[in-house]
Amino acid sequence: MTRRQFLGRSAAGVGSAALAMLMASQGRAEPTELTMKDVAKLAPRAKRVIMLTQAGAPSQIDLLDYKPGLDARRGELIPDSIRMGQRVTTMTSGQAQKLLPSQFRFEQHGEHGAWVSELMPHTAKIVDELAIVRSMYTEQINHAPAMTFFQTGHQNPGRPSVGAWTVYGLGSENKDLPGFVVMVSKDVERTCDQPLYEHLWSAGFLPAEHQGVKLRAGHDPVLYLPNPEGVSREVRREQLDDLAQLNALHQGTTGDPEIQARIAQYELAFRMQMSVPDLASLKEEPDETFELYGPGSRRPGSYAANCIMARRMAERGVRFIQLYHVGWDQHKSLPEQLRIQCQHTDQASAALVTDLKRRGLLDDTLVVWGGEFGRSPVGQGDIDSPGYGRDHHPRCFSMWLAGGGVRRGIVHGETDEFGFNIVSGGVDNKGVHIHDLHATMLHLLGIDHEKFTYLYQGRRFRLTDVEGQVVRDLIV
Amino acid sequence: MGVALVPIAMMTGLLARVHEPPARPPVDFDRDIRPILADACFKCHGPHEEKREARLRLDIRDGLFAPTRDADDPDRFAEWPSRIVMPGKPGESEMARRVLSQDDDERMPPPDAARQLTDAERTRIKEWIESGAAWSGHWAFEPIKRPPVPEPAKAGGVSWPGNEIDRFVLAEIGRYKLPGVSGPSPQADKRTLIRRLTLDLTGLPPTRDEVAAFVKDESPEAYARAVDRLLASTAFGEHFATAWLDAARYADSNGFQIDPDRTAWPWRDWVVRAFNSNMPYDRFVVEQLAGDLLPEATSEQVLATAFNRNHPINGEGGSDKEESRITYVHDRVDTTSTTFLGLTMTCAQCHDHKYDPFSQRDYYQMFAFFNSVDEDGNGDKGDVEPLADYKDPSGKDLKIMVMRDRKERRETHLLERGVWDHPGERVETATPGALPAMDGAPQSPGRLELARWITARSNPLTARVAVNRLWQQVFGEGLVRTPENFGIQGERPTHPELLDWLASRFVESGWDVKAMLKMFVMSGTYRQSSVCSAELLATDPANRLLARSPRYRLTAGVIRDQALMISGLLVSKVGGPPVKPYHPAGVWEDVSFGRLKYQQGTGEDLYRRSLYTFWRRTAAPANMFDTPLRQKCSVRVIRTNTPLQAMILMNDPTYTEAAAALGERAIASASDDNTRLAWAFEEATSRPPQDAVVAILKRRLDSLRTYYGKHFDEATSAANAGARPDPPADKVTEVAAYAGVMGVILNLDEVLTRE
Repeated sequence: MTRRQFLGRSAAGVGSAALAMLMASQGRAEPTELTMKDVAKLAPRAKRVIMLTQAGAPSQIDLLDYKPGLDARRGELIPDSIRMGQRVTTMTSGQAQKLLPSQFRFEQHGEHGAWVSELMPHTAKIVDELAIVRSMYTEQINHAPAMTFFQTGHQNPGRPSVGAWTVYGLGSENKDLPGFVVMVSKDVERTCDQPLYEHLWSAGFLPAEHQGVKLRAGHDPVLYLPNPEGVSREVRREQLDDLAQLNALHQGTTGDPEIQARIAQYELAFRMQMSVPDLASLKEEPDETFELYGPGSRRPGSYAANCIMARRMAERGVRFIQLYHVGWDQHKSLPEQLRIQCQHTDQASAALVTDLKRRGLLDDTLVVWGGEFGRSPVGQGDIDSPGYGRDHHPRCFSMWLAGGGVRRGIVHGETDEFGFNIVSGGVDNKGVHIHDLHATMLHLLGIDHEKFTYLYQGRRFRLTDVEGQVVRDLIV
Repeated sequence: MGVALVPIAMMTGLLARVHEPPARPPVDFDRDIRPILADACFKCHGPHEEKREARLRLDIRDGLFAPTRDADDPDRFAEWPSRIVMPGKPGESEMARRVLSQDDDERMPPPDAARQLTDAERTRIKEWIESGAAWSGHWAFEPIKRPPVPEPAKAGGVSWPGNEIDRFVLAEIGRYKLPGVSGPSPQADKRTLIRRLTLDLTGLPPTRDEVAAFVKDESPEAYARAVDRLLASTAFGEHFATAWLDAARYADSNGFQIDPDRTAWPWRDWVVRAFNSNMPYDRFVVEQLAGDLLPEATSEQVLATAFNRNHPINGEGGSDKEESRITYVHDRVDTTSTTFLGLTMTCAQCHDHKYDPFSQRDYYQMFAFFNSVDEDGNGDKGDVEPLADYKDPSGKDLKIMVMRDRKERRETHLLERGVWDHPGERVETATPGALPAMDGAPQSPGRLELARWITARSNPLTARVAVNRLWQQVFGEGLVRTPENFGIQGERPTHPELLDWLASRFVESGWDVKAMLKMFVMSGTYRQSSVCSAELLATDPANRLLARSPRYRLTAGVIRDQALMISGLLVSKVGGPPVKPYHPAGVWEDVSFGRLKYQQGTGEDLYRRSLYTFWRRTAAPANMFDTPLRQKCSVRVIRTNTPLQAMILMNDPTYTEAAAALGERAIASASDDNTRLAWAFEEATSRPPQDAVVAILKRRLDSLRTYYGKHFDEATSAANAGARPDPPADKVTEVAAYAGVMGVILNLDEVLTRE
């Protein structure tokens, strides 16, 4: 039993604590967990998070990290002094490592002239709201461990996800909806997928109620949500009334307060049967919304539709809103596939920021856009054919953050002229590691990442393990 | 002082003033001091060499009593205080000076450390030094000695029906003398008891006849007879195998990106047979770890080693084969050390353990035992080498992934920071230095020697860990409540002497699992009522004194099996390939982007016990809430309470079909509503309902009859739930109305709960 459950059991609180102290003094230490009082010592800037996870690794070199210097080096082998033993996957380890500049046009946008590729015209229009981070890095080079690291702070499955940590720490603001909601989208055409696993949004060793609840596209967004055929809402209400009455009767005999908790969960399930479809019903949205979020936003389950859902959840106080969009793994046919990926996501991502802002929600909503690692400035396959691609690259990649206390209109960190290594950004110019991103996200939520621990298997675990530094340059 | 005052005293926080605190036992280093040092100090002054500050080590005896080093120049010794701990003299002990100091530059832990000491902890450290600073090893690493059973007289003179377990439990209750806990709870009534016993030992509820026979049998042997009957039932092995499948991260697919199916179920059936035939636990361990290496190994013994091939297998394009292979070896070390030894060896994968006396070198010496499997790390297909031929009971030839070593052992190197392609110094197979050495082992022992070492009498962990997990299965929580961690940061046993007594008894019995379980359930401790007064609940909410029986929700698997049994749908066929019962559409498709399709089974496949349900590692069965995902070894019980569980139990076709089928059985059981409703209630709870309960159910039945009489389409859907044969058209309204009431019964808290 965690301390939270331990103290949460009815009015037994004070007595329990007394016994815990008594027993602790006799060597029967109760595990102690932090309470919110201990956690939220910092002034929170953000109340909630929308994470726009672009799974598969978007090619930063073609989108946000402009490297004109590569043009002159097209086809040259990457110097060993730059590569410095960086691993590649077995997909390209056997081929010559030839440099390949982006074929896409970059222009400067916004007040301070951030360079953005022609593939992201809508993102380009909102750069004044964004902090573009060109100095992200990670150690992982394969999708599954890298995505697991991005979402949980560790490469192996089993740790709680950043969303679970957040709702564990801050609770839910909406009594009719889960605090941590996940949505997955995929576009329809010709791009390459990487699977997403349940452990990416699991609660790990945290209490299971903090796990992400995955909403599915269409009329049945939560598994087992609707009543079975033949059971109307009226019949269900009557069943629940009887159930509550009979359970209360039994509680009188057994004295177990858990029975009350069970009754409450059945009632929440009943309320979710209304609140979830209400959330998922985009019928009441005006045409203007769909125009803003772009083509595809009327198709349930599309990235654009999920971005509208994300805004609706932010309005309803869902604490952690996690979107995944797959298909960014351009090992081949990059020119065609990357264009498709951007067509499906660019407008909606930008629209979400714009929409949150005009509704006054951006100030306390942290939006994070990015993938699990980056792509290499070295080409994969025949760089002279349109079939070329780029291999994975963990040593630098780009993300953007917006809202929730993030500095507006900045570009943070730079890579070298090859776009291969980080030269500045992060604490002491070491770059921004995933642990640093997590530390910064928690900081914006008012949580000190070093103090926010959970005792499991006798060890105090943190989202940031034993690493992580808050990147103050990203904060207002 | 009146009893009625107690709750008020507690709510106002006056407990300490109203009640005399029990006499403090003398300070015990292992119980009182080491946990404080481990939590607050070991991070910088513990086993982890690289992180060690000031060359000070508090995790070993020599370090604690060492001469004090100069703070500015650790090469020199300080003049005063001359020792870190000077027994009997806190004034001459650097430790006392540091923890009691008011000076921020001197105080330990330093002011910026996340973990600070409480005043009580500082005092306790000072008291320990004053009282002579007696040192003792960590309890779980000390040899198991059989402690004396407390005398009955010391147990407060309470007469109890049970055995030695009760004397230990009573002695603890007597020692603490807590308000509201004057003794054990009374024995549970016979109906509750037979239901509890049957659920705990078989994972299924008792039948009406079994309950009736037990209630009627007034002979003193009635209970023991029921215990023997249940331990001999096939359902026993199925139930105990289920927990082992979680520990052994069993699944029917490889996991990761491709997640192809694998044929692992013959091993699952091996586990069921092992429990049912009461295989001694030491053999159970040896065969799973090294059955292939036994002299003239049988095909069953080779099959047993599939245990260490149950890990996920990565087939991601572009991943390095050697990196994958090393991941599997890490998994085997983790699973073996957690399940058999209760150790978190994984912590030493990248660096020396921060709390326990295990170095990174120890870790890779263990790693070496599992590093010579004849495998290549490839995994985009289903079953991968090494494979063994196995004939299933119907005579069909199957290939099963098992353990088989290469002729030449692989070289094992310590991996720097745990990174697979950063080999460090070379190591050979060896067991951790902090634990008793192997007896008469060859120069470079192999897996079989490791298995023998794990099951040797001298191993202090194996029997304690095994007994604790068995205890957890019938008492809901272990005597050690961190079953995965018996190390320094794990919880201490609530009843240390009892655990050791049971562990030594277990070994002496020839590791007899059923005998151990019988001893547990024959105890008075087990047979107590779970009814709990507000007072007892307030005093001991986590039930650490065991002065009542625990009351907790059944597992998702047991709840499902129970619903199938009560409704008459359960198919009690044992073993065979996994089956695919009801599962929401699109879940597999979602995780695999349409590549994997769930082909729901038909007929019997829908109604088998839950351990036979196909376990896809990337998408575990959606209605199995609070069950580990089987990505890695898991021995801990998860018990939460969420709205998603309520949705499953009310809306999953598994349960709506069970409700309709139970309704049909109720209708057939008698000719009048009240008798039928009482009958159904008793089927589900093993007890007849009070009249008030029947009245509530009857009122609902009548209203549903009226409702469904007007809504024939809805009635048809409700009555025809699931794939079982539809009731005749003229019975539809009646079955639908009953199904609605049965849905309530199947969701009653007492049906979902082990009381």
